[in-house]
Amino acid sequence: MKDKKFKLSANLINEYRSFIFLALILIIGLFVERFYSAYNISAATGNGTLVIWLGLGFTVCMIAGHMDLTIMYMSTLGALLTLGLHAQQGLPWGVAILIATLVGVLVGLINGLLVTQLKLPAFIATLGMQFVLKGTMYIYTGGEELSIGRDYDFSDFLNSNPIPFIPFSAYFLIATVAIIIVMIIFNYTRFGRNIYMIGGNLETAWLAGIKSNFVTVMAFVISAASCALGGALNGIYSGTAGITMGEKGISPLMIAFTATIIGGTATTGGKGSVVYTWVSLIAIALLKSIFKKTEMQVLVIAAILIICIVYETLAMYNRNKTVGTRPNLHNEYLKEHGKN
Amino acid sequence: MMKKYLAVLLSGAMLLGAVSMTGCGSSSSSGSGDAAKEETASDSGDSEEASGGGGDNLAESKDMLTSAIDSVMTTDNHKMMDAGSTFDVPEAEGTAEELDKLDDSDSAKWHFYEYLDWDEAEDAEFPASPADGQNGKHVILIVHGAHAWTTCYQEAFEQACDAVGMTVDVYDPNWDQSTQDGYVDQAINEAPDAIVVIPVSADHAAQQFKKITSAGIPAFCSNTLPEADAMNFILAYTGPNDWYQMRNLADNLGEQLGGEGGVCYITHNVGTSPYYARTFGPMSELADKYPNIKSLDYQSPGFEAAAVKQVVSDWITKYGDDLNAIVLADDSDQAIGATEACEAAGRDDIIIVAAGISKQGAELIQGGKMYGASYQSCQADAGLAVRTVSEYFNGEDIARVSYIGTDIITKDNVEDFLPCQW
Repeated sequence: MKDKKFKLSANLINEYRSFIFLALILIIGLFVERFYSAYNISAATGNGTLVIWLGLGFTVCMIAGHMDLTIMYMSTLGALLTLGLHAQQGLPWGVAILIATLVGVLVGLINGLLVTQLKLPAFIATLGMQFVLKGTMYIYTGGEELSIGRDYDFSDFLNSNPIPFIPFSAYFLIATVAIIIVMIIFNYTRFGRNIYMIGGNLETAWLAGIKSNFVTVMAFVISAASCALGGALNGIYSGTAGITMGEKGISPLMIAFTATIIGGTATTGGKGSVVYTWVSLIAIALLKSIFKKTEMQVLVIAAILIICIVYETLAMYNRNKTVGTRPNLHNEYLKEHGKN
Repeated sequence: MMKKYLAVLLSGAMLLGAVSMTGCGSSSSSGSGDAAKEETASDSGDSEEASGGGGDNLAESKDMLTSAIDSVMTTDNHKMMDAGSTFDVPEAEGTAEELDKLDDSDSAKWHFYEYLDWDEAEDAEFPASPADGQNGKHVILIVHGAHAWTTCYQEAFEQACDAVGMTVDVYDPNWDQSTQDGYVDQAINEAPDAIVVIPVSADHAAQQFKKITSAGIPAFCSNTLPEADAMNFILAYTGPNDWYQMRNLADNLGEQLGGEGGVCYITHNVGTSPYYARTFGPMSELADKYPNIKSLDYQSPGFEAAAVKQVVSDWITKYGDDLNAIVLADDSDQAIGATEACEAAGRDDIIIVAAGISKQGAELIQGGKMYGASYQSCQADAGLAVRTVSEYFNGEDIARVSYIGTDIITKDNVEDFLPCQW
């Protein structure tokens, strides 16, 4: 009985580790000067919002059992397209953002078709697509950075805190709404459950009559579109975009990956939640206000990632030991042989 | 399913807890910049009390500044905090769009790249000088990224601040734009007396300085020439006049070539301000003053000696005797690659000049492998920034744009600039 209670609390801790991580950051923040100022909360979460969009895409693909490595370049392309279409072609912000998002849909579609029709591993397909996107960006911009120029209005809105008494920027709130929408789709629609199914066991999903190719393609489309949209908004929020965005410092891809793992999404697919990833990303964004030096931020984030991966690996090893056995019989066997 | 609800409830509770602790209610709706502005205002009041409220501190500060200007020296034995120089901005010969259509060798094309030609009528409301002296003030310096030059600049900045009684915190975003954005926000949140930024990107500077100025904090830009529009939010820019020093170097090169020959250029990173200044500055200057000197080609192989050596070797093969000089954006690795290629081809007649000056560059000049380099003092760059910030705190009129001095270094005078600063 005691063992069971211990296991229950261990499982709970594991299940809610992203919340524990956030709580830890909030507690440490009590001892950091000006951590709880409205400006800091708003700016830290606002600056961390791009990675929330990337984390959203990465988590969706990982739940479907795939990895989308294009997320960073997709967001940069989204930003460059939006700024370019607005500043150079004179299109309104709404149209520019829509076009950037549609380009994201197209890229996601190609990624999905490469994986489902040509049977390329997602890792290889999206790695190749990274370079295609980078080349496209060089052709589009000639290597130059693009900016919003003097058109500050929309940028100021995204930077402002639109809801009284709530110190969160409009940009962060938009991303949060997107997270809630995806959470609802995943929890309350057949399509959402199908993504978990194909990630958990593709063959079983197929036998159950799920159109696994369609669902996989859609997972890539959601991922690329959310990154393109997030990148587009980020370009306006920060006022500029350049091809090398995110290539130096701490890679946004690494942060998205870390947050997805901390959030409990299984690297093998079939398990995870965009909400947990969102919570982890807020914690990482706030963590940057505590550890102000870049090198310390890298160290802490990497250490947390390693701890989570080691835990996941051990858990997977233990699970695999019991695959095909009845757990209670397996435990009895272990007891008999003095291994437990 | 219950777990999901519990999770959402937990996250909501945590964030609400955070919100309640911020105590931000009244100011949050008016935008984050304004919220910081109010906090900054109360902080600067504290700082005023700490520094004795003007009078005595101002006189003491002025003495400290005068003494520092006279006594703080660079490692190559020049005054670190010398006064900057200003330039009159000539009239542009058209709009930016019209000028963009001109030939690369036409100096008129680069007007808006070369000069901070901003519309002063659009200037933001800058915080007034407290006029109570720089002594006891706290400054945050946000550099662009880790490099030997940056280390030299940072140390000189700290040394100059120490000499005038200011304290400084330095943030290094390691060349990452979003990290620098984060540091700008952190700096605003810490409400220092002034923020000095070396922007990672010239195009991105406007938004960063707009945030700082909106928060009521004096914003200074150092070293990297920002886009002209950013000047509406910058109290003062200090740094090298890259265009002027490269034009100066080109004049010298033109004389050495006797007004005839072919020149090739190795550029800085594409799109950066030195890319334009160090390529099209000398190119347009030579075209203006020496019409018989032809610009043959320009390439951007980066900063690896091997890559530059390959490009220069190809030029020697392609242009043969028509290639008489090479202009480099960097006098360290680029210069090593270029001189090695010329040596390997037995072309010691090719005149090599570069933007400088580093230890490698000085050694190449001393060894006769490179003809000359421009002198851009890293430590004077930091010194001028600190001097300008100090003068602002002392209530003096400061130039919105001021440049550090420059010179041409050749074998004849290289000893005057040793030991090199970085």
